[in-house]
Amino acid sequence: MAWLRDIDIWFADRVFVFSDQHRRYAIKLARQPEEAEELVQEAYARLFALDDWSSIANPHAFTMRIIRNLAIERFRRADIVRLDQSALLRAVDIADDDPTPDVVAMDRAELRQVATVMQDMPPRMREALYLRRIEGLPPAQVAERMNISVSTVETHLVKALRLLVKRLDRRETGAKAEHATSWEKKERQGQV
Amino acid sequence: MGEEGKAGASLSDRAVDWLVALDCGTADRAAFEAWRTADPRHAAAFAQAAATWRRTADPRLSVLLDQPAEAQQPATEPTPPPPAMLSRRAVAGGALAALVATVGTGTFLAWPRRAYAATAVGERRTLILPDGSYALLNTDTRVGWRFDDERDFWIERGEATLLVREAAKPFRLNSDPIDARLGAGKFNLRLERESAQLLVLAGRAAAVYRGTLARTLAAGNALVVDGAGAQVSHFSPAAIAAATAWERGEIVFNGMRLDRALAEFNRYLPEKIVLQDADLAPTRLGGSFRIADPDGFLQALQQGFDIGHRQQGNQIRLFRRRAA
Repeated sequence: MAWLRDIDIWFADRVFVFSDQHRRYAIKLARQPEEAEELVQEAYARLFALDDWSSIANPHAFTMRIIRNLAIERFRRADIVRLDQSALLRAVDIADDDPTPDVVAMDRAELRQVATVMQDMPPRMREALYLRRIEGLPPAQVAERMNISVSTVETHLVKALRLLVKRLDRRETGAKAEHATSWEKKERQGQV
Repeated sequence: MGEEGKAGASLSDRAVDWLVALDCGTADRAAFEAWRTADPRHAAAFAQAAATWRRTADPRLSVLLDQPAEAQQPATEPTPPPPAMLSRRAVAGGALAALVATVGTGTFLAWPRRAYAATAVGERRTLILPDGSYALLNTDTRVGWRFDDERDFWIERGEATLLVREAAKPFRLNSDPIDARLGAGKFNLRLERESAQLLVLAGRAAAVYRGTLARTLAAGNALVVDGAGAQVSHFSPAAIAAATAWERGEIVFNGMRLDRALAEFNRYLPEKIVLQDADLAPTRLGGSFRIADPDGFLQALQQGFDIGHRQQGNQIRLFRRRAA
């Protein structure tokens, strides 16, 4: 996988594993999912503009601080700063100097989430992903096993990964949406 | 959450397209590098796609995905044709058709399976793993393993000691709640209903507790997880000898309370020893006993502490003996 640079692996291991916390924090600050997602994406982009990323002792805390600073910039541009927001800004406390642990595995909740998304996939899409990623077959062999062309395998994998990225990114907001749905269901049942 | 910035969403899609094209060998590398370096947002989107992509190859996933597939199998399995009525060739053709049909419906016959081994209550067993590592299983234990690109070993319940051989492939120990990456060395993992403990006897382990607390453990240290949380403890030589006594068929009590000592002994006994007189519980015991000889233990209680025993149903009940 020559296309993965050191910074990509560093990002996956030391930053992206905490993406839930980044999103949660951004939602607290921005109050709006769209704006929160922009804050997170902007913060991640700033990391990739750094030259000395490898010398950051605690990349997670560093990322949280960028999110906060970006939020402050936005608040300053806005005419009114809400009191609860400024209080939140002062309350960030992450010890920057604590190095993050060198091994951070995906936790079980995340793992289950990945498994759930995979199980919800259309069977052929899931099969292509499974053969490629978990069995580790080369794309040509996946194609042969599934009796389809390599370009169809590619299409399945693109759709599968898009779905995963979308579903996993929205875990936080997704949970809320689920809640709302069940509440709506009750409403509807009440009306019937 | 429908509209989270259309530009952002399409950037993420674009990153996924690049990643999969690279993976399938259909991407123009120069064009990709140009796209990635054009904007740090592109680089960030690509790295996020790559991190998610990596998650789909987590070896623990196959376990989570295996179970429902297994559960479905009896229902989806086509009824095999009666073999006597078919020629050899027809059988082969039929089997192939059945395979294709099953794969077509999304059941993964070819999924790599784990191997399993288990011990009954009171049993101990030594396994030689495919890489030459050893696993010693204590009583009432179930383990699984799969050795291909990586060495994965699961402890589902009970207790096992692993003697891990040096190899290029990492050795991963998976359990609920402790996961660890093990170097060459000797390690003991014990799971109980409310607690778990990973003890490093030799070598080093990078241990993770529920994905949150991560520590590198050296020999003599243990990650102990209980209701209060997880912490690293140092084990004295005496504590290590007690924790590993079962490997020699022994059970060691270093001043342990009787109720706890019984819980230890009962792990090995189909018929459990229980306290009839609750006030015996704080009695402190010392000494070492043979696991295979509970009678010797009961005799020692009688001689040393004047604690009698009698069989009642499928239990052995302990009581304080009164002076006659």
